[in-house]
Amino acid sequence: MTRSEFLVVGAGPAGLAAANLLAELAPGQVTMIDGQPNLGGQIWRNTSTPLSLSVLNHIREKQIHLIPNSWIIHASPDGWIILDSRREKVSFNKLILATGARELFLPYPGWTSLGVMGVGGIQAAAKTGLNVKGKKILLTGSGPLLLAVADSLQSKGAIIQGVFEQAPWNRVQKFGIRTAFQYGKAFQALQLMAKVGKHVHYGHWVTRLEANQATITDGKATQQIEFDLAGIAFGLIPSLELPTLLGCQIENGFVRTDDKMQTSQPNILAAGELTSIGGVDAALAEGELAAWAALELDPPNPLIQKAKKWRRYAEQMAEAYALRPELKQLAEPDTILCRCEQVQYGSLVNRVSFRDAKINHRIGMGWCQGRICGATCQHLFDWEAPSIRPPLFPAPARRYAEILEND
Amino acid sequence: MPRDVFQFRGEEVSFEQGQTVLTALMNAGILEFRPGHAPICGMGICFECLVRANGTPVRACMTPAEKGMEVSLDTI
Repeated sequence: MTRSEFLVVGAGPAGLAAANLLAELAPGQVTMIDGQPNLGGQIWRNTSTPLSLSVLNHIREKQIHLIPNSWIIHASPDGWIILDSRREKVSFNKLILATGARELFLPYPGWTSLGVMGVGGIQAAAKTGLNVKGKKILLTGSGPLLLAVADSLQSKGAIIQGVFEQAPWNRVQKFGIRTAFQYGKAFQALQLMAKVGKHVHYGHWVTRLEANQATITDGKATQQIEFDLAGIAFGLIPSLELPTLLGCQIENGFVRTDDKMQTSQPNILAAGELTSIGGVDAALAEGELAAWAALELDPPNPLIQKAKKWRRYAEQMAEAYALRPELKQLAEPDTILCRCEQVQYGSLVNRVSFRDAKINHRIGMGWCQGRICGATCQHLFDWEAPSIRPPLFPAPARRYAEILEND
Repeated sequence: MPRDVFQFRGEEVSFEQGQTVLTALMNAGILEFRPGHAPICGMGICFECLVRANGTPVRACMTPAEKGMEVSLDTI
């Protein structure tokens, strides 16, 4: 058993903010785990900010113990986790969950075509070495991430074929003005619009992909857009498997916390996208708050107010980018819905629950364990989330044998 | 950045240090992995990029490319 006092799961902005404060107030007692080799999380991916550099320094000075390239396969609120990379359990006294978000994918004819990734997905690939220079890239779906990724890819030499946001202009504009003036992001917003604004169309969505060509509609007219690669996804959703396994209460699709990031489990805090999709600002504030709570110290009141402000921002963002009903009607009967088990939409549309669909068609039983199709079915059919059982990620059986031996 | 190669289906795939098996393969024009499976999430969730690297099934998107690696699509 490897013992840790404070365990931070996830090295995205929320996890980094938490670990950074813990390293300062309880040096040497904090362990941080992440699935990737590098810090920064799946979406933000920033290793050069003062915070990231501070954390890297803490790691060098052994004030934070980092366990990279590791995924939690089993965990108990009694105070331990099992990693896919270790032969021993890792125990904790306090756990800070900062596992972040992933993308919502919705099916339409051709969505499983080659070279079609998520929006954050194509950004992740570009930031880990995918050559996009000179490639024609189509971005569509929903959310502020579309613009950020367009900018990021364009700066790497990609040819942006178009950025098609399904939310209507009036809603996005209202939110944009708020973002600029109420939340102090005016400069950032103007900069972004200057760089990629010319590519953006609101109230447009993809209906079909065929041989590197997309059909985009605004509900009235359609147009064909050519692409080499595409980034298509419909917003971010929290990664709830681990909090659910640990018995944290989930409310309205997020981990329920009080305003100091305390979950329903006494020794577990949650921060960042797990509590609401608020982006990096919410994550930074909440991560810090969670660290104060883990230390059982009163956080500074301005920090509590900051986290509340970004929580409001998250709510307003969700309203602005709510998904239109047309997106639920795009799939045809032979459109794949479950990619792992290649189950078609037509087989599932008359099922009554995820469990029913799983038993009859194996959705949720493939490698992703319902991470992709589960959220899709929740959105399309209002089904329940897939039930969670360990191992959370595929792991060799001998891992469990080793753990039992070493326990 | 220094370049190396790994083996994939009997061919050498060139990569730059720091790239993942996924991005090295995509740069080499390989966009379909196991038959019918196209990587989508880029962040270790979808498992569409599952490959066997040096004998072990791994997510290519989460696996840094290494010199001399043996990569195949021979997985479950």
